[in-house]
Amino acid sequence: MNSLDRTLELFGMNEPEPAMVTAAQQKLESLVGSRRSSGVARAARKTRGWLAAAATAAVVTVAVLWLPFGPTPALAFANVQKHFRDFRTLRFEVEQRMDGRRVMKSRVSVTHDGNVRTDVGDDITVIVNSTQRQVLTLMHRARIAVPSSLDKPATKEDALAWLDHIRDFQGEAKTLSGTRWIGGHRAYGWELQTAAGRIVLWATEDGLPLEMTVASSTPIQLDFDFEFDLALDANYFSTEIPAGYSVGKDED
Amino acid sequence: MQIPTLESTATVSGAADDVAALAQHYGPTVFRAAWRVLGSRAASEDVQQHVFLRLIESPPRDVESWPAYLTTVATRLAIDHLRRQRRWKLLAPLWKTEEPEDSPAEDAERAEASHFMRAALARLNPRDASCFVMRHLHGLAPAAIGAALGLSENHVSVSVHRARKALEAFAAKEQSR
Repeated sequence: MNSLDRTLELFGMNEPEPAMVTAAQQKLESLVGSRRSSGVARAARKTRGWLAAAATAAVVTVAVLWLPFGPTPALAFANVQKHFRDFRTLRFEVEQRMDGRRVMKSRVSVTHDGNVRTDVGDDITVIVNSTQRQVLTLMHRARIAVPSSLDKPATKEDALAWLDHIRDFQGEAKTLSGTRWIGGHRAYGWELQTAAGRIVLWATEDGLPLEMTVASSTPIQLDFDFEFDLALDANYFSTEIPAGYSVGKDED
Repeated sequence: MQIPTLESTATVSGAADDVAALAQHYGPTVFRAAWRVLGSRAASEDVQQHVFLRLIESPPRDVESWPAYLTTVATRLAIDHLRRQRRWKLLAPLWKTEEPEDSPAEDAERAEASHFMRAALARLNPRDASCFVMRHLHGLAPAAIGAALGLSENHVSVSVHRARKALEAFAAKEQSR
């Protein structure tokens, strides 16, 4: 037996524990069952270019599967969903916390026509230009720029899938009692209990999303701050190699 | 809904009732297929759910073997996950990506083998990687893999061979370090 066969044999020994399989199965059947009870059989959606971009760019947003539960979407929450569907530009800062401690903060800017820029802390920027079908990754400390082509279609488990999921959310969004002041706006809260955890979203009376928190059974919590329809300069999404950067190799 | 047999040709309407029956019957198979590649509960659950949501939204036609088809889709999604994970590990070493959570009882040699295989599979052509995993990890016959992927049996064999050569090269490079 050569070393690869031995490696493969060892790798093939990996089997999930039965309890793990059972727990996953329960979640799956709950998910599919909720689709059955709500009669949802959504038509296949067109692949959105900017989602493909987001798939590459938005490492910080983590793949969070939002699962629809309950029979009736709240009307007011539909206004929130509308903002997520109809924006010209969307910029959000996302902070990942682990056990309350900040792990990473990033800023993601998205245009409706498909450009995405993600700044991961001060270290890395990923620009996806859908028109040019180009991706540029900048590693600022090393002053390295890695250009590559955007050639992979988006899939649902991609990192910005949450945006697609919230747009299509079919479940019941519970209105929170009380209001908050966020950035000079009176904010109203909604809570969504999902298999992924508890999601709290604050928005204006008109449904303009301001803040969102996603917390699950894991120690990780994601805090989002949203800004809609900001004027973003086209150069912000340029994939030209900046002055002072050397060109690196795309290892994929 | 009657669960299609391994040999039967069948379509699924996409109605949630049909998919619910498939999920009930083949859900564990799909989870295990994803887990063998990923070794991560959360990622494997995502893949499992994605597989069946996709059935609701885009029902496939003329599926010859549901287990083979569903295992194939799960494998492709799992490999896509590995590739994304690798990309981000390359780009953002400071970013804490999800680590596999293999059994605590896993010994060091197995852990090393798993680490190598996941890293190497992420570097292969996705179709070659899928064919290799389905052949050598899930034990599917080339004919079944070909039917599920829409490839000829010969094409599957070539893909598996190509993947093996690439993996051997990766292993040799690893050993020479």
